[in-house]
Amino acid sequence: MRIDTRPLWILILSKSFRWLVFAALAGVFFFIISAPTPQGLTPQGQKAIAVFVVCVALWVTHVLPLMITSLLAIILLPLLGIMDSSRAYSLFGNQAVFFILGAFILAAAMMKSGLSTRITLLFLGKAGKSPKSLLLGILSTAAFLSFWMSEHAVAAMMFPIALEISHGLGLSPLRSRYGKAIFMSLAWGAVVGGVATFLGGARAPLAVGILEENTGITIGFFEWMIAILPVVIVMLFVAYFVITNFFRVDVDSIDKAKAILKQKIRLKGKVSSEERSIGIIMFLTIFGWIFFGKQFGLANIAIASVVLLFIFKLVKWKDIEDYVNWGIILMYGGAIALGYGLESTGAASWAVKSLLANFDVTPLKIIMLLAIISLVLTEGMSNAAVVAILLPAGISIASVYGIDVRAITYAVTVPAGLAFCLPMSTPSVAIAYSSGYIKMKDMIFAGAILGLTSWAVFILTAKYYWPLLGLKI
Amino acid sequence: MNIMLVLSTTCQIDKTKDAALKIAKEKNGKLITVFVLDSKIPNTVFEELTDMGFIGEKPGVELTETVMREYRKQAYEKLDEIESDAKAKGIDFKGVVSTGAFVEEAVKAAEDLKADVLVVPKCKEAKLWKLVFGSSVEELKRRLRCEVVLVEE
Repeated sequence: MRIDTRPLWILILSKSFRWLVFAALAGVFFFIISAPTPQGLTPQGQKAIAVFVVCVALWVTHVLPLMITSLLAIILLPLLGIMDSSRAYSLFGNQAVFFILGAFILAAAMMKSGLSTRITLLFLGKAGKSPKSLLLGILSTAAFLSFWMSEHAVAAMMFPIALEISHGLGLSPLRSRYGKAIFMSLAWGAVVGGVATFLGGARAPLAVGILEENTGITIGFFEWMIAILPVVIVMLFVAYFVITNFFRVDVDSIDKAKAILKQKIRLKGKVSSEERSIGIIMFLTIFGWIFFGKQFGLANIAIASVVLLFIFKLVKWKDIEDYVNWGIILMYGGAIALGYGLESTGAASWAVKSLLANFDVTPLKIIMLLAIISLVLTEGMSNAAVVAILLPAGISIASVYGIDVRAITYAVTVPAGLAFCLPMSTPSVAIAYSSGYIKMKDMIFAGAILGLTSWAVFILTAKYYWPLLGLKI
Repeated sequence: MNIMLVLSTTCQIDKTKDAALKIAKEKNGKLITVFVLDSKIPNTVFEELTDMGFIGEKPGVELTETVMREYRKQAYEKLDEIESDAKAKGIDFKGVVSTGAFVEEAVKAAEDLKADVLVVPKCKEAKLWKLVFGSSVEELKRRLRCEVVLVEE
């Protein structure tokens, strides 16, 4: 007979954690909505805060999938009289939803055709002859690809290549420092590159969707890139420095790795017409986003490109179903609706005024605070959920304190994408950890240094570079 | 006498192999090495890719298969290494690869293969982790009747 000698409260918790969370949340929810309405807050605002608290807890604890929590938000908002149903459900049709869907479908086409793998092999093949140059090659390739497609998809796609390189070099799992360096370069390159544009992850378009829905203000594709690229470039150098110092190179030659890459490129054969066509469509799409995004709309350009993929029979619908998770629509719709609910009822601005009334705050301090909160939160939860939680408050802060709301959007969204420490922080890091070459302690300390440095770099960029772009804080 | 050495993808300590070989030699026993492929990690990665990364199932499935193949490869390489060391010391050897949760697979192997002594690595676990999730090696000691030798990291 098995006897578990852990404390009783731990045993109860481990067996019934989900139900305890649901019960606690139900209690908190009813407590908030039945409490006397504080001064300055409307009854609808009070209910919006109750919905918000429930969603935050569910997103953090992950007892429900992220998208289902968003669905819960969508139904609670009209049921509680915060907004009418037609408004709530119409937010699923937000342009941001269709932009990210289009972007994911285009990325799926690149992955299915093998174009993304070919680009990876070509870049890595040119990485140079020294072990450090290969690390830099992996880091920068992962980052560059994450500019144009989901960073998680990049990590998943490059993972088998990194494994083959490690095998080819005869690296021992858990023992080889160079093995650790390879997989951390892959993970952190994808993470850093993923914040550069709208395409690296779901968080940036979600942020712009929430921003536009609440304020009418938008941020263009190129505008985002120009504002954030300096952070990315500096962080890539910092990441390279951290990796090469924490995981000192213990191999002399990478000739075998180069041979493997050469062979894989040879086996790939000539560029197929499918790859060429998808590459052209992708290039034209990015060109359209950068130069015609404001004129035609990012979502329109994205969906037009998707239609072109099917007109030229470059993908099948099954490919899209295999590579795209439609739950993203639910996540976006619910998050945008929740943000709108908090803003339109005045709940967000009430919360901000209540929390910050007694503090001497300056715009820069607010940017610093939001960025560090976002950075810490993202180590424990989904990037998109961090944006959904913090940005509505951030938008209210911007309006209360007269800060450019675009700066606030960057301050919440960019750090939300910079999770370096834990496998549960982001899929890219989890993928690296799953290789069997890295222990958790390998990534925690180095990741923390990277995280704090990224915060400092971000703040310096905000203070000294953004004013040059006309974005004053 | 059967000396069972249990390793996993998430916890392998070189000293454990040496300890198991020493015990097998001293007791003139057979060394049975069980390598547990921990499927929890690739399954977690799959869930993160789909739930947090909003990637479709196919890349997640392919990644999971790649990870498990890698784990299997690491397992067989480790078993080959231990077999080679065992043969050099004149110790009878058997290697087994299993997939699943570490404790469950270790208990099952110990019962099926009639282990007399179980040698396991004890990787450092945070106190909070042990408090909340329990210690896998403590659980092994509770569930098995045979002697359990822990080799600390």
